[in-house]
Amino acid sequence: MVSVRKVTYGRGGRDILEESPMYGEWRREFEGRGSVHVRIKEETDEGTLKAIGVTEMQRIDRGASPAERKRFFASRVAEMARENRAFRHHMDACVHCGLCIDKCPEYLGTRDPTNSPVGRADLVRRIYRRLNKASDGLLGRDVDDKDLARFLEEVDLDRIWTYYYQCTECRRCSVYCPMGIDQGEITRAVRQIFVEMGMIPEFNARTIRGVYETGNNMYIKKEAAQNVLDFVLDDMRQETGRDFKAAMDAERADALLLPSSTDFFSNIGTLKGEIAIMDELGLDWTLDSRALEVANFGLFEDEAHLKYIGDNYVNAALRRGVKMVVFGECGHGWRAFKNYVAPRLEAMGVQAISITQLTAWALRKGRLRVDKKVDAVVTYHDPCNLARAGDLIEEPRFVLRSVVKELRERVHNREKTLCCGAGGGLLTDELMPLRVWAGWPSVYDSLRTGAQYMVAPCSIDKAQFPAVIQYHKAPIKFKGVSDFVYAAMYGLDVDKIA
Amino acid sequence: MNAVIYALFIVLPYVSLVVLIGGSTYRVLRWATTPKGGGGLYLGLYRLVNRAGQRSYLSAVGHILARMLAFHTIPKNSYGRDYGTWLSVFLFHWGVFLLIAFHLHLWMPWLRVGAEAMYVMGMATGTIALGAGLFLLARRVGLRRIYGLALNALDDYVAITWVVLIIALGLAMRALAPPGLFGEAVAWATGLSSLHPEPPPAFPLFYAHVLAVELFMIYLPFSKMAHPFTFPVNPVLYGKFEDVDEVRRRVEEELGW
Repeated sequence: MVSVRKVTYGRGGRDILEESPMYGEWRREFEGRGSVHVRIKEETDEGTLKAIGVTEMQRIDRGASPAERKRFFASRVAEMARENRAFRHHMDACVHCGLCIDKCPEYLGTRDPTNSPVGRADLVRRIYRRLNKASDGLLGRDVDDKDLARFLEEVDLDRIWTYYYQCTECRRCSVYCPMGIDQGEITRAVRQIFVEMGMIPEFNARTIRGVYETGNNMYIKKEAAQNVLDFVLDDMRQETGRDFKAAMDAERADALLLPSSTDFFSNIGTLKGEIAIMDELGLDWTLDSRALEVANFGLFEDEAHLKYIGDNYVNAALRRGVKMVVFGECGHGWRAFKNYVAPRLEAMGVQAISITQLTAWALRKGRLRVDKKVDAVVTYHDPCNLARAGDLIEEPRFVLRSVVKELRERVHNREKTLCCGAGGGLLTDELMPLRVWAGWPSVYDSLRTGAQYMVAPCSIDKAQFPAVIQYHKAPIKFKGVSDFVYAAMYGLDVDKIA
Repeated sequence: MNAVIYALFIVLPYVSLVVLIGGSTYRVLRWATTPKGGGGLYLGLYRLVNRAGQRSYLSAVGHILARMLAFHTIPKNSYGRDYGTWLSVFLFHWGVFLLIAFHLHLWMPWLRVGAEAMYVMGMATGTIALGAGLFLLARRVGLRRIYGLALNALDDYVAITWVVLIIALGLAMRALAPPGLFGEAVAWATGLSSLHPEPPPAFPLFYAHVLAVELFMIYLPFSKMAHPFTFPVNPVLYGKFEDVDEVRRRVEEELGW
């Protein structure tokens, strides 16, 4: 028995965890102790903290006493409630119905109830309620110092850190919560406070440092990117017998393509697809070597970094004087882009769209021709941030239906999609036990469709799912959307293009 | 009318009403006037709305009303469809809505409803609401067993128990009421609203039921019972995505398609 209440498809079925051949591993890892032992690494070196400006944002010394640090945390929770409507609402509106618990992919993967929306929220809500009292400060004054000190003794900051870095900010809870409480937003607020305390996971800090130093997460310098690009163009010429143009840092162009930096490493098929689409449409387009990135890890950490990385895209568009920015395949990045960057670009008369939108609209208008669909059965994994925060749901489906023989819908599709288990900055090796199990519900959902490929236009998915699939020995492959577009346009074998 | 009766059933109703309306308004205003974070951006984001395809404020209002009246997110298609919880939530809330609506009859004596019809409708609705309420209370007690998480705060037990108690007292009062009770209650209620107080019917269960309601009205704004008022101030549900079709038209024009 994995939990008191089984999680099954239909009546009488086995629990989804028991459906994995690795179930024995799961029991050794999580049974009886939950997931509190899977802690993200916080020990970031001073050099990195300095390089990304955390030392300047920091408001309390890392060497301060635990009591002082707890006090700072609690006072920031109170402040956050005064200055952020969403946070205040989410702290107040919960009725403790518990309906979010078995909707959380992290809970489904670990069965640790604290690792669920309400479990996580209550770690902080307890502090909030104590500070505000039940009367919302109307009756009686705010809590006094002695009372606070006594209460804070029970608060375990390390526990809060651990569980708040087991949330992927996928926002599935906000769809199912009867009140519409979004734990992802509470998580963002709490992580903002941690950053102000100088606490940022090493992996995310180093990734953000990459953007500061090279304009992308993977520390790719211009020369290296140009090399990869030349190699890819050559490869494409051999595969298709056709010449493709892709400019790097063109002085002026009509359109700027923002690819994911991982497209230059592991997702070459996606890069080929993006290049082919831009070229076939006859666009005068360019890449910008200081913005070979779509991700925005600031979304996982704090406001300042979100804006810094977002502004990098705006600056790239201004540098190249483009009329249109085409955003490559990325999930969380699209949320930050659509909700921070796009309004800025639009105010300057620059169109901001995603490659999936461009492809879908072009296919619908007959501007892209597909002679022969790829002979494959695929299923579409909706990336959380596209389905629940990005309004990008039907376009990828339209694209896939146009380029593959059959698209099968999963049970958990569209805004009900299951998280990959590594979003929200959890894509690090030390969280691997958590990742392979939090990603399993989605892989299992895909397996049930009987599809050969699981497809998603998201770079975190592309890094995460192959690991989950391999761990569970699942008979399914993972690809991006543009890979299939490229394969279909030139009649290629999708497995051989990357 | 002795002083205690006067205080509890003539003065307290006004106090309860003022606290209920004033307190709820205060809570809503507190939420609505809380800024959206620095620069009006929720930690760097212009929009938080989660429901994809939400195109206008009207569709947001429709979505919120559907959540409040149909509770359609509860049995939504996920693992372990919880129809039992949905049904009891639905019956409990609608039972309470209808019971409140039936009570408006106290102020509308011109509305002719047969005594028997009134009795049957009230008792049936009340019984269903009571049953659903007891189911929800049992579910709450069992939450820890289901999920292994100590979820319930004192407020969680108090709120549901109190409503169940009010319904139970109301049903008992109705079942054991002397024949003239409704007429006397109408006189008391219209007396309160016309500011010419009349004494309440001298019936212990009536006293108990009304007192429980009055205290509940005072408790409501400061507890989780304020939850229905949180919907319009939730930026996750209430917001607007840009019109994608309009973006598409702009882009197609730009590209000369």
